[in-house]
Amino acid sequence: MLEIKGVSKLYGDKQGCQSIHLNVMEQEICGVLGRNGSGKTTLFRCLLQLIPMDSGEVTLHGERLLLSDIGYVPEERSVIQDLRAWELVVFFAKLKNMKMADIYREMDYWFDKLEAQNIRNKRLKECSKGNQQKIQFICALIHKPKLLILDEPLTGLDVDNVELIKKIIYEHRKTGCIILLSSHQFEEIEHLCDRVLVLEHSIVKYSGRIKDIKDAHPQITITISDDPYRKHSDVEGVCRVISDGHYTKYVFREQKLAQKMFLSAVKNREYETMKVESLTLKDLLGDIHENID
Amino acid sequence: MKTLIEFSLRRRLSNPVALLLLGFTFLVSGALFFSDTWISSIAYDWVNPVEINAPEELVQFLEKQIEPGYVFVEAKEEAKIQIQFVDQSIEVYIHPTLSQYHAYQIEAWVTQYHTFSEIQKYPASIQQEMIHVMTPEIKMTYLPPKKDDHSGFIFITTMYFMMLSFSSAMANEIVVEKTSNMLELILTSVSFKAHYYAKMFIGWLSVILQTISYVGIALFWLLIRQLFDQGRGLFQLMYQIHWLPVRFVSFKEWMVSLNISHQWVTGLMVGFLFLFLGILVVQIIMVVISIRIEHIEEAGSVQGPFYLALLLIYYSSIFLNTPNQMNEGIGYILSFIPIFSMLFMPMRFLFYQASLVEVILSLSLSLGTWMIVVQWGEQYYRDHLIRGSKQAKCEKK
Repeated sequence: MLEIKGVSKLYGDKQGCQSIHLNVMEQEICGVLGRNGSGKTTLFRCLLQLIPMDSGEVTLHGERLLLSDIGYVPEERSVIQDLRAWELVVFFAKLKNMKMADIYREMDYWFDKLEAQNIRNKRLKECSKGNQQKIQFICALIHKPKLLILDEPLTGLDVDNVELIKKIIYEHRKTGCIILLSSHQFEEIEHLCDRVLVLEHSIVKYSGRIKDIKDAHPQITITISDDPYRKHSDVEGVCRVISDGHYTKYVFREQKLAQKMFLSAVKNREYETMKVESLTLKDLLGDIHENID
Repeated sequence: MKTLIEFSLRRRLSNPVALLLLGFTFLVSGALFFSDTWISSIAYDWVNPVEINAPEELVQFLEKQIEPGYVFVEAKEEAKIQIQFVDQSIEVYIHPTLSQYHAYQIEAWVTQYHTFSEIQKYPASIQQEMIHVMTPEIKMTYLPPKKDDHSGFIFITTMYFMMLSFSSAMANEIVVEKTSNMLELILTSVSFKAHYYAKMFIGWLSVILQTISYVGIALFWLLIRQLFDQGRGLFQLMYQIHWLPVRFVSFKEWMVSLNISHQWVTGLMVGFLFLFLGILVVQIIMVVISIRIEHIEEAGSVQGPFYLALLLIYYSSIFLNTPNQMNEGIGYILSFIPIFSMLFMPMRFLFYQASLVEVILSLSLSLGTWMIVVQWGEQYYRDHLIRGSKQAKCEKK
């Protein structure tokens, strides 16, 4: 288990993170969410020991967290452009004290797994951003870390690569690895994460399992297309209306009232698209922010 | 740390540009060491002696005084200069490729021969008197090379700039790592301390390895030339073009003529020690400056003034290179001040005067400064390499 106990780090301008407490079990994926400047990167840097904590303690399975236990994929592409893909992987694997035989074995496995054999001998400057991200993933995973820290791992990837990386992340947790990932794309990581840590202005706004949040917020939403005038705003049970481009999302406090409106709309065949679902992470976090504010 | 050092050195020494430069140096060195062979195909007379065909009595007369640039041959067709006695006159045929200088030289020798031949016809009692009247007594002596020719200084300053350029490459490496975001990623695998000392070792090793590689190339061609003709042809060329006052016939003979003393070698080694310590301090300061650079565009403006300061040290060492300045003036004072001492103290003890106590004192000051700068540099490196890394603990494993 990863235990983060009261980690604080403030810069001179009072940005950073304060009193972060978090427990993440083995095989769990924890999303670290928050707006820009909320303290996500500072927390990661503290865990990576790039910056010293002002206070707090971090342990992994009851012992001090070591660099060799961590795999890290930074938000910005961090590659040496003139190196070949395999050379960068070997470099980072050797930094993690891996033996060459193990490196080649694991490298074969991960290049296959990430469908990247075709870029293995390519120079990184010849690779697309998505492919460079794949190589960074291999660099982070090759030494079988116990803790994987992914800073905005899906940013800048095309749809296929997003799905591939999500699949890899999801599968990798089965090895017992604890995964922390940050993202602005709440929808993208909602299905991946078991728990979330929400930061705002350097402090924790929410920390817990996603299931627990959803249980605490039994609202249901109906999303419909081509409804610019919010026709159903006055329908009984609607507690909030959210416009999102061509879509309008109606939030109902009670499932029964939502079903009633849905059946009515289906019967009249009013819309091309209708979607019924529980509150998304994005909506829930909006709720949390509003409640706190 | 070992991985970082290996990786960086491999990238430095086996990149296409470095290999191209090394290959170019190899070829140029080979061309220089065998310059006589290819120059002789372009300008034969620059390298090879001029063949002269002459009557036996003239050959016997001139054999002992002929210059190294000439040689007598028996076959007329091989000769570029043919001298023939016809009746009472002497006919000389000179190849059109030869210069007027050769004509004057031959004229002088033939005149000399003629004079002595004619004198021989007179009674012995007056021969000496005639010789005395007709030929001045000239005693030609080559002066020995000056002891203060400062060739050692040229050598040391060459090394100074070479080592500086190598050491500055390391500072640029840090700038590249910072600006490409690689630094953060590397520091998630190694500690600040390991990274700092790896950079130091990389700088030192690259200076040493590149020096070794260039010296190795020179030694390789020297060996080849030694096996080829012991350097005879090369020395012949250098003598022909007046680079050497004496024509040596082998590298061994040349080395012996240098009269290298044990004391001179020791002095040069101590000079290198000063130079190396100074460069190490410079290297650390450059690293410290470089870690404040956030963008590659800043590198020139931040490092530029520092290079100017180093040039200032170099030029001041030239301007102050006088006995007065070096023995009791500003040069004397600067020979004790670290960084300056890397040039000034070697100059003092190699070419002027410096007591053993002064050398040891200056060396101790340089060594102490280096140790302090290494310690301070480590702290500074840790505190400023990444935003917010101040007071980071160097306890990573």
